[in-house]
Amino acid sequence: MLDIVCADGLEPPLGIKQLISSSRLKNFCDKNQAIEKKRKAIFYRESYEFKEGELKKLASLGSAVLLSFSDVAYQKGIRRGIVLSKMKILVEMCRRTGCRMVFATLAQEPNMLRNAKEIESFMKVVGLRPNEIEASKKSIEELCGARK
Amino acid sequence: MKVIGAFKKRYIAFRLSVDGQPPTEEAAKNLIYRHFLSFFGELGFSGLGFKIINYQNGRGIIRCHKDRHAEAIFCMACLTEWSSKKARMEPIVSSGTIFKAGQKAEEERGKS
Repeated sequence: MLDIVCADGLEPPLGIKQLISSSRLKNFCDKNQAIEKKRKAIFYRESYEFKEGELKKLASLGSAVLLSFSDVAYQKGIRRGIVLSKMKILVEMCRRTGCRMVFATLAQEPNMLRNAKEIESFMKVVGLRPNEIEASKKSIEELCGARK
Repeated sequence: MKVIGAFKKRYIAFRLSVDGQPPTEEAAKNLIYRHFLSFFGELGFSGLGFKIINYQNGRGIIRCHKDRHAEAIFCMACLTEWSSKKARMEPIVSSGTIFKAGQKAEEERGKS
């Protein structure tokens, strides 16, 4: 299993083969970048607000949506509930549109890293089925193949 | 005698640290119970079948319902801060028996 992080020089935790820095991924799109005709990209939005049309376009381009563990772990109370609820809605929409999903920690420091078991439980909690978990793991390995 | 009404259990071995140091048994139990209660709420916590089996020097085992063990692991992973200090509760292994959970945790400890 691979993990995408936001810092360099971090040690991979238990069950994680490799940590890949988001800055080294040429197909990583954040900060509300428009969904262009970029094939096999990883899209991340902190708001987790995607329109169904956008997800259909992403699905046709073979791109994926990224769900970050740090967005849940570093929120508290109601805010955490809202983020989890948005993620569950997004997972449901991705399932409907056939868009791929990838899960990562986007850790900035060693304390923010999570092991494979924790990321898998995060996938289960947001509503992924066992076959979707496997597909997500394969997707992250495939999409992280293209680096700068 | 066959136990019919008993729920299926999962035992999760974990590592706990607050500010990089293992807390005392009393502090750890207080932290774990409070964190789980705030995460699941009273109703959710009651259905979790949660119990701290043992804890010593930053390592321990908890019990939870088999069907909800992903939620329990997720809850543990969501612990980031306690009393304004960085905290981490890392699940190491999960098993159906206390003995195996302890054994696997020891094996992992040996590897690392």
